[in-house]
Amino acid sequence: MTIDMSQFYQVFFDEAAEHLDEMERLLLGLDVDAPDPDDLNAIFRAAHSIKGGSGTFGFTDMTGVTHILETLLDRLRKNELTLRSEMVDAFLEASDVLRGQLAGHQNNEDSDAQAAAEVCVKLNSLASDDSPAGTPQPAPPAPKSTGTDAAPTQHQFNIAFTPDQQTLDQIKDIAPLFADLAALGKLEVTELPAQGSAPRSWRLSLQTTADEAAVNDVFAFFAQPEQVNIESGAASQSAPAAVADPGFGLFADDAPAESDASFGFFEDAAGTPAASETPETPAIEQTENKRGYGFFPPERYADKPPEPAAAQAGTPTVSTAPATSAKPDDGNQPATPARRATDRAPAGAQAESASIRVGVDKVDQLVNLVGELVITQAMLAQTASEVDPAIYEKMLNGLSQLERNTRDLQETVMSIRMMPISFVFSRFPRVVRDLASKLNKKVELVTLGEGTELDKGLIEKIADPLTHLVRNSLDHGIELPAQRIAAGKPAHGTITLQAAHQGGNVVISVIDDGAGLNRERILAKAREKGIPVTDTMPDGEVWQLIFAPGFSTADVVTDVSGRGVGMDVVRRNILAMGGQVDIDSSAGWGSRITIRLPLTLAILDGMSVAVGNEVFIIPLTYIVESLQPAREDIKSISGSGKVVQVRGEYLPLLTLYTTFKIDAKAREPHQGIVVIIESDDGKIALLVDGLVGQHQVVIKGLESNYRKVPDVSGATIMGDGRVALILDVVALVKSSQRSQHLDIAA
Amino acid sequence: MTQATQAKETAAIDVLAGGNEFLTFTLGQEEYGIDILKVQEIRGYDAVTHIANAPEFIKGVINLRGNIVPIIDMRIKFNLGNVEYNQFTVVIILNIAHRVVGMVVDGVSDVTTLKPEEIKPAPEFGTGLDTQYLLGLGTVDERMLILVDIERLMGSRDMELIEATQLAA
Repeated sequence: MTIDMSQFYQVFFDEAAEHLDEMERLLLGLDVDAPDPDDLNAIFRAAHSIKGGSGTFGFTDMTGVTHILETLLDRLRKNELTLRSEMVDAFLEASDVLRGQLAGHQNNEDSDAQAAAEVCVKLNSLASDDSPAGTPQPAPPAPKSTGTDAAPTQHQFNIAFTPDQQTLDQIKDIAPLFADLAALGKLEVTELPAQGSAPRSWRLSLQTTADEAAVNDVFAFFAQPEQVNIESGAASQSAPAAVADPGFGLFADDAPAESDASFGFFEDAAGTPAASETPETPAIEQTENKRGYGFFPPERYADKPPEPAAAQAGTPTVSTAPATSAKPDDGNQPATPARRATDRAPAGAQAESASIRVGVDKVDQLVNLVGELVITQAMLAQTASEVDPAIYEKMLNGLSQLERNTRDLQETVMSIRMMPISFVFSRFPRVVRDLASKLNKKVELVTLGEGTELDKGLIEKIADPLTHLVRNSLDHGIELPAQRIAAGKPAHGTITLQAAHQGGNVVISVIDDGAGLNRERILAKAREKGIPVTDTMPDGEVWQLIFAPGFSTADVVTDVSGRGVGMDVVRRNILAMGGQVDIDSSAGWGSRITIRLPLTLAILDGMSVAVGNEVFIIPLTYIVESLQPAREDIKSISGSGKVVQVRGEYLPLLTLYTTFKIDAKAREPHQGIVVIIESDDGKIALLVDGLVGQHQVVIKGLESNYRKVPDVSGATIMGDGRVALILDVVALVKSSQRSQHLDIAA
Repeated sequence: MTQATQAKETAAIDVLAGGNEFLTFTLGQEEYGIDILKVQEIRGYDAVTHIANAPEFIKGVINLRGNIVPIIDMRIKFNLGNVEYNQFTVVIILNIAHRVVGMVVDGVSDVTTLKPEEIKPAPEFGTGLDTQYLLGLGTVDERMLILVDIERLMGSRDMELIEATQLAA
């Protein structure tokens, strides 16, 4: 076997990360009092898959942790232990440790061995703790299957381990193997290999509560099955297991051994119907074949469609016929199909979300190219509009088809980069759970709009600021249960994470029903910091103060928050993404922090308007209506500010030609068109010369080669190749209001 | 484009020979030189999209094959020459520190190789062009060539091309 394993590392890292995510998700969803057996099985499978993979790739530290994890899970699964909340905690801790180890391997760094050791001890103690004191636990019910060797009785195994030189080379170090065995119970090495003897052989004696399969499993990661011979010694169990079988013992003729020794989880894996053994598509099989290293395939692919058994295994290939028909001598090999066959139900669900991993740079390149294509297509369409349609009918038909295809292509390509925000939201149940228990608060997390899609780049960048905001809400916002009850609120605080598309933006809100921001304290703190404030400042401005660097009104600095670093970083990060943060707060009722992010790469639906010789784009989502005002609808306020009366409403009039200093044709409102635009801050009327048309435009940043321009959110390239600026409606509305305030003040 | 490409090719040869190549252009009566390797292409002056509230010398932005590129008129910036736009007006497209900027000049004259010893330090004097943006003065056939550190100039606060916050960073 001289295949370079490293080429498969990335596959393992990705898979293991997915399994860990899955495991964590299930753990968090687990009801401690009445755990769903299906979930337990799924968690078990995830742990098992990681163990298998890590074993294959020689990441023994991960194998060690997952193994202990698996042992405990296995017993839970079989109802030998009752789930307790500290177990869930320990599992979560273990999954963190595994994540660390995974990252360590990925970056070729050392992971925290001590944490791993601690978690192992914890898990071990939980696993060995059959009937913990104080927990009135019923006697473990008899396993459902006919096999009795799974009962938590002490087994005595005599193991003969005779690896060949090749295996030894791969293992390099025999110690982790023994460590894993020792983790199962009491291990004694009864016979060490004689110095220099050709087949080096160990004889071990193991006293354990684990069943034979577990013991086999330890070896499965290190050695070929035929190199291991396990004999059950004076076990205090009633039914004899198929221990005398010289092979793996899995496929001995007697049913009990097979049913339970092969890990036992297929039988009780929610009674997976045999009907699910539908044939897979050859394509998947091929992939599997390519990826399968073939050494110890079963575990790695535990939740994958099967591959032809042992096609690449180093040992003689056996028939791929159903396991039960395999001869006992060959029994150790086809363990794989048997295990997989029953595990296929989840595989079916996964097949639907089949995906390929592609570098982001490739996608970006695709997006850029399609953007160019759209512009070229628009130019063509413009040119074609000048020809005689009667003569060039065919060409025009072709062009209109090109337009449709280009648009479809663009939408599809754009959607590649879009990911649902659930990728970010999914981490918060854990964050909230951990933090709430640390702070002795009761908090419920509600997530809304998880399907909201935004650009992958933003997804990655928004995670940290959002985490910070959630932690802040939990630490500062939500009160302790006693305080909440005293305030007449339910003891359970609620943090709501909400995402939605609003206009050309994605709006993400973190809402808590806690105490709200304390206006007085913020003002006092601001004075202390030397920030100029007045008592009459509007709330909105007061709340913005908490974004100042080093600003914290926390009474006590905790390790969660209160050091005053953070909110300024949050805001800076969000501004860097082109977004903005707003705070609403009401004392005693809670606060809402709203993050508004642009949809980068989005194609914007825009209305192009002409002012003088220039063309501007107004995002369509902001436009309420356009109208030609009558002369008498225009009123002026204190001589300078002008308002337009639209259906009984007075709207401030912003003349675009003065904002952008353009020589416009329509200097008086009744000569031109007013476009009523609305943002969160209100409505204004925008005077333009005329409407040009409605387009889908590709947003191009001005910042890449130039700088940010006030009142302009970006630029686009029009059909004739010219550049048109896209108006920043929010800023325009804000600035018109600001100038009004000034007018009134003056 | 082809001019620039050819220029780059010859530049490579001359760098090996121990000289630096400069693209020379005129602004009014004066002749300037910039490092040829900073030049992406040379093109005519097209319609630009004006940017409101920008300094007068920033003419606006153009679409350069899908990129939005700002255009600066050096004649306005340095009060040189008659500012008029016709079919002979030339824009030098520069590629500086991953940014693309266009620069309007009166005309592009030549590509000249100058050996280090042919470049004299610029004396201190008050001009529209701060001497810190000058590489020195070169002499070619009795003509004086003002060698501009174009990267430094375009990145400077004076040009207002880059956000002040980014400059600080």
